[in-house]
Amino acid sequence: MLLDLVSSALGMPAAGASAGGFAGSGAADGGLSSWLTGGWLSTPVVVGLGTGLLGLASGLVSPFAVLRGRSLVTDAVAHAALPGICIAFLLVGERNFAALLGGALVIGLLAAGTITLVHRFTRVKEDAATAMVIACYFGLGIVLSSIIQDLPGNKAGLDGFIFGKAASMTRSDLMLIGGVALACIAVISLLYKEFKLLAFDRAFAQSQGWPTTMLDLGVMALVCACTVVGLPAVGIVLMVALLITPAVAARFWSDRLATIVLLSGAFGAVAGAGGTTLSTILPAPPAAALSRGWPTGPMIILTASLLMLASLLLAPRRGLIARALQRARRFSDPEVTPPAPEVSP
Amino acid sequence: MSQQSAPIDPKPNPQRGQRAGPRAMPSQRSNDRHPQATTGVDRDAARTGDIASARGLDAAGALEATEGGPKGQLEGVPAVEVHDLTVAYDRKPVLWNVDVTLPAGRMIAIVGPNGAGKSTLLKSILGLIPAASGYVRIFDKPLRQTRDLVGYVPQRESVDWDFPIDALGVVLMGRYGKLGWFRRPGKADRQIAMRSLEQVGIADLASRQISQLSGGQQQRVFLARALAQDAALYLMDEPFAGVDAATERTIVDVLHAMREQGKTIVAVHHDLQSAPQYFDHVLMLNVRLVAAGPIETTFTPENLRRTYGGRLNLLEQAGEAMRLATKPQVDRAGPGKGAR
Repeated sequence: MLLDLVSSALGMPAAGASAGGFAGSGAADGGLSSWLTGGWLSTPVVVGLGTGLLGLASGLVSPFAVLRGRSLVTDAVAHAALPGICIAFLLVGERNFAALLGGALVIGLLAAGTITLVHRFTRVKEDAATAMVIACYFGLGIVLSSIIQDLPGNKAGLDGFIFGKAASMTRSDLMLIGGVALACIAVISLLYKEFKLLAFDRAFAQSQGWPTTMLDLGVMALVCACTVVGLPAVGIVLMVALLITPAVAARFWSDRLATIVLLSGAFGAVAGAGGTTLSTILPAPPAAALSRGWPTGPMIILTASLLMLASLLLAPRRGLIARALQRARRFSDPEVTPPAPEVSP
Repeated sequence: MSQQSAPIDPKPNPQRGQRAGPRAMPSQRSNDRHPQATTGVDRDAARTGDIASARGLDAAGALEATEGGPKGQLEGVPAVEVHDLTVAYDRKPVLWNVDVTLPAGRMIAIVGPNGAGKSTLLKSILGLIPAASGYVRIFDKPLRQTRDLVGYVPQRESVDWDFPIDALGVVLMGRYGKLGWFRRPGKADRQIAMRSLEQVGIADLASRQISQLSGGQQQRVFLARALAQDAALYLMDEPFAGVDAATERTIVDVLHAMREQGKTIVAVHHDLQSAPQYFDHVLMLNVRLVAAGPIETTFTPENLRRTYGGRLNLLEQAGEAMRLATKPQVDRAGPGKGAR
């Protein structure tokens, strides 16, 4: 029983074993199209929808983490979610979403706390502290997941945690991801004003009496929720990218936070669904090593990175090309005069 | 508004003011002006020695100005009382046993060398930094109950000016505290924000991206945000840092207009030369409280020396400041080479 749960927790289509998903739907064979869950909701559609929704949720949360200047902390929290999930799984003994989320959140916050403590009580710089904490918690996570892996009979892959197996996504996984996406939309539309203030000027927010620590926790809880549901699909390393890249790409296109949040969500969704589609429709390479087709998780991140690259180059005003053009125009056009010297240092 | 209005003066304050001085004496090398400092006398009252009447005037001023404000709360009450406040970072004291009362309706400068704890004092008053011991009362109430009466202008460098927001958006944040959870700023808030931008003279830049603003304009945006808070007490961390002469002039005018409305302004100030021209009270700080009181009687060479210690260049500036302080007619309000 345990190994079935473990294999599903690892997001692996364990051959021959019937795996209980989050809500206990069955999975038999690992092949993409070998099992249909009925009607139009075939596996590729489930996977495409799931990764799309996952991208949407992460993309919506992303700006509030990135613009608050906490990309690295988010990185650490997402990495620390791995040992959190493992501990929760070992304690509860089944793949219960609430327990996994709780574990991810507690250990993720512990990691964030560790960074603060190391930074405050030693002379270690914050970036060094963050890098150490990420490695430390990630190492712990790998140790714990290999313990889970070594539990009798179970050989299901560690790589499920690290790189994800989107193809094994079940309908119940999809429902869960949908739920998290809805929760992200709800929380962000309710607390948009508060998150905005927190991201721009935390001290001022605190002076107005806002519970800034709780709001920070709220953002981190959303990060953890995305990580927990995204882990089986894209894996821990790539999940981090999905939480950061969309906002960075969206920032190039707009100077309005609301636009950036929507755009970031859209970028995430396009990366998720687009990456999955690409990995499905691209002709399989001849090499035997890739006989199982293109890996979905990495394709999603590559799509996100392509969007990022396109934004970096093509965005009006902030893009590299636009800025090069502006500079060229400024130097070549004799009509253009330097700005009035009204500007102070 | 006559001197006779004085007896309105409320419960614990006159006693408190007199009590604070002597009590603070043993722990700090406080000077004999301390009792005066804590009572909130204004210039005239200082001359007549009529402390209570000064308070009465304060109260009246505050009453008239704070339309719609919580009038009863402000009546004759000191703006800030700091009680034996000690703050430490990593067990190193940044503020040591600071005990001072700041009068309402005044412009009060906090001066002192780098690392004297000026910003820390502001942040402690705002409750942003936990105190190792001591406590703060705002308008004779704990901060929890008076948050809406307190406006804050942080140091300009404390935020990321590349944040995706325009000037009006930042000013609107001043309204968030009054809006409370979940509610978005509405038309009325927008009007208040626009009016605040007008007051600081940059209404035309309302929709300008904040990264496109000059340093002085950014400082004005922060001031406008504080105005939009519609507070009674404003705590400002170096409102004149890195702004040009024109902006400094505008900011001073706005602050003086605010004082005319009965608002209390407490600002960390670095330029000793301009301090006597801009402010009417001063709080001199170097981890311990050195002196506090009306600027004419407190901003003295001796106190400056005690505040800044043996730092040579600062002493020179202090000397300059003394000369100016004794000859306030000489207009040297330019953007001084501050003590920074």
